[in-house]
Amino acid sequence: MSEEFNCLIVGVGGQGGATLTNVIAEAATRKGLRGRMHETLGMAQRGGSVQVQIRLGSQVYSSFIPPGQADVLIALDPNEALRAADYIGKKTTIIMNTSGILPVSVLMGKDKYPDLNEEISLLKQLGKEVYAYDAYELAKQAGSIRAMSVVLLGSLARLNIAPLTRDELYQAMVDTVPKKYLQENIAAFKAGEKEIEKVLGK
Amino acid sequence: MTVIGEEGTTKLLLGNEAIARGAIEAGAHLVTGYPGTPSTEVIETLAAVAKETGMKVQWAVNEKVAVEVATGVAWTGLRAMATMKNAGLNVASDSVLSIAYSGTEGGLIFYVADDPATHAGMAEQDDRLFAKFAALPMLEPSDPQEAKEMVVAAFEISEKNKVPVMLRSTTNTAHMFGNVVFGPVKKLNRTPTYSRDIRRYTKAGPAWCMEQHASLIEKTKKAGKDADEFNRLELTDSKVGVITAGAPWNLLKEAMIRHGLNVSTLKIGVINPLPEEKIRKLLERVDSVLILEELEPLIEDYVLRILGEMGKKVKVYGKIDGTTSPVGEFDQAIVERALGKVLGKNLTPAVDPERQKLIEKAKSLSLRRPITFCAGCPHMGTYLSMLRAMRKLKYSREDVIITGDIGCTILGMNPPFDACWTEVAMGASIGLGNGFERSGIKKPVIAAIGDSTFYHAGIPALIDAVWNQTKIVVAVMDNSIVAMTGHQPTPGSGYTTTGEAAKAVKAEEIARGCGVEHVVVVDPYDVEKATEAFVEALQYNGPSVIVLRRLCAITAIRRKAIGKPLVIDEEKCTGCMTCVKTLSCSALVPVGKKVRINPDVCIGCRICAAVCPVKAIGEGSQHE
Repeated sequence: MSEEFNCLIVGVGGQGGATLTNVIAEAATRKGLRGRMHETLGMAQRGGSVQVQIRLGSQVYSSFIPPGQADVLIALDPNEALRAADYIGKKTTIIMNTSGILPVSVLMGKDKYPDLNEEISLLKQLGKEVYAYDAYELAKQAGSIRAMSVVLLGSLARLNIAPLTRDELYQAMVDTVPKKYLQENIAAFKAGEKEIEKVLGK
Repeated sequence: MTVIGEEGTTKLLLGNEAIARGAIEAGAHLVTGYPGTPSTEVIETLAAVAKETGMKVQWAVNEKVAVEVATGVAWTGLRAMATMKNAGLNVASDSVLSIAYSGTEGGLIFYVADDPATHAGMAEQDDRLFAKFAALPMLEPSDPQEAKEMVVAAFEISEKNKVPVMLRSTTNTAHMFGNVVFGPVKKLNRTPTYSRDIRRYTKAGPAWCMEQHASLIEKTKKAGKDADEFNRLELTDSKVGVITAGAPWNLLKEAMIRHGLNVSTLKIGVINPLPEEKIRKLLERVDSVLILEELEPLIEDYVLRILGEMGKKVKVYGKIDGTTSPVGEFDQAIVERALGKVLGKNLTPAVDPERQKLIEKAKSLSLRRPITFCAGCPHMGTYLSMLRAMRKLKYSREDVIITGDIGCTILGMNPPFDACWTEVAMGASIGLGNGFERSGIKKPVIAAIGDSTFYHAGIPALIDAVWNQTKIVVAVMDNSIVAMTGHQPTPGSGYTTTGEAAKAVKAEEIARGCGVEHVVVVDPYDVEKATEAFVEALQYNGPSVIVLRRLCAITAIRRKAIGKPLVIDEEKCTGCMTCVKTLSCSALVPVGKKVRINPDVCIGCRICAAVCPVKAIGEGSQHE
């Protein structure tokens, strides 16, 4: 484990980026990890881009992840992963939901949503590993699309690349999400784990 | 995250939450302010725990009122704080400058959050200059822990020196999460007292005013000395020094660790008065000094002045020689470049051009997401009706000036409505509109203003319109909430900041009270009636007010006060895309050649039903 852990979460307002952030922050606080973090979500509720930077480590002072220094990029939306390309380096593991939210310009027929295959091939050249799948679909099967971000969290936990164990992340999730949505979130977390296991062939 | 907890607890808090915790620990009696990014969370956090702490936590109608209310409390010997964003301090400044002369009895803090890089819009103003201008002490933290400590200290220092203390942060610090260790909570239980002392509390007469001014200068000097622990000087044997303050300190610290740098540093926590002695000590040691400060060269100017007095030649790197820019906020790359320049080394990581090409390609593929109205936003109905009324009266888009204002209402400037022409400041849509009319330009004027913005600063301009019989249409878009900053209650909402029932101050009553004779209240979801209201108002010869009242869609969802999702009849839908192109509502999703409504997003506002040329949109039951 390197001295610092930089996790970048990108998406669109309302996709559950805040849930993800709360879970990781809670797990880190419980473990007594020192950290800095910031979120850009001023316009989140109005369909704007959302970005959360989480940094853990004893030598971390700024809440800004330096360019190319993300250890993990969790992309709730493929278009937003592209926007975050500056942060991707050779050590970056990318966990991405492939089912995107269409910007207004696409709805109005002025733009085309980025091609997924082209994007994944680009991200593979830029980063270390790319795990891309339709997390909306998995969340729906788990009980609700609300739990989409927790699917990706499950994948992060299973990859074992954060300074937080699978069980620490799992427990923080269980204690952080609203009780009435707990079952769907547990199912979503496990679906995210399974997705990684499929790829790793275990 | 809650800021209630035992002494010694460590929590990951936002800078603004840490400031809220500081106010609790210091035993503040009242905290008030006006919502404004990036300052809003202080009051939000305190309001959520007001029942447990017993603190009075109140949104004010504007920042000037907030400062006055906080001051009134502090003048009785209790502790109080007013919070605001950068632009808010401009509104409050008239009172702040005068209050500074009178000083205070109880601890009094004015907290202002600046916004380099304008994450939340408005000017990149550097309010460190304001502290100098007002001659008030100012502290600036670099992280949440320090922010909390500074609040606690600022209350003490303010009280001891009988002077209000300004606390300044920037977005990066205000919105940074960091570990904060809770301290003890003071229980003050003071009895408010206040006695008449016009020599101190009025400005009647130049002799008293100048006496107050002289005393303010002395108090601020002493306050600066009392806060000197927040100026941290670390001298090394290096001939290079760096002076910094606020958020850039974190970037400097990291760069020093990353590159093993051994430069002397002065981290300034007291922005006004600047720590002359410590600056001198650093300058005595070095041949060159880098000033790392965002926005204006405030510290740099002071350093140059001191160097002049010292008669020492030290090369100064900062804004003046172009090492850093007065525009935007700093990041690692900027700080590494600046440090590299001073040290004559290349600290910037090597860039692989092939890789850079791929990064640029990825970024170029990503599409912008201009912020839009939420699904079911009543403002969609307002702008739709406004534009329809213009068409009915045979006006083109260029024929009617639509002045915009601050808040969610300004989203009408973006596609698909492309309605608003201007955005200046809170309430300025009306005053500016009055001006356009008085120029004699042959274009009708509509001012589009939100309810909270109207209460905040729109009313004087409306009185001006009445007094001068200005032909202007004022659309008060009343969603009963300060929506853009995160849904704080307004004076019209019927609720207090902490959720108790309150008398609702109604915009239509204010308008009539100001003397407006043509006042109409309509529901913007009722596009037909709202269009008719705009048609009438545009033809009315004098000031008119249309109050478009409908609860913010997000608030309606939270209060479970929404309708059933609508459904598009697939057989009727011709795929003309009129609904999508006119509203760009996120609930309208093109699927193949037709449009479907996302039932998870739609709240049944029916604005799209009014747009559909073939009446294919309706309630689910009709179509299922």
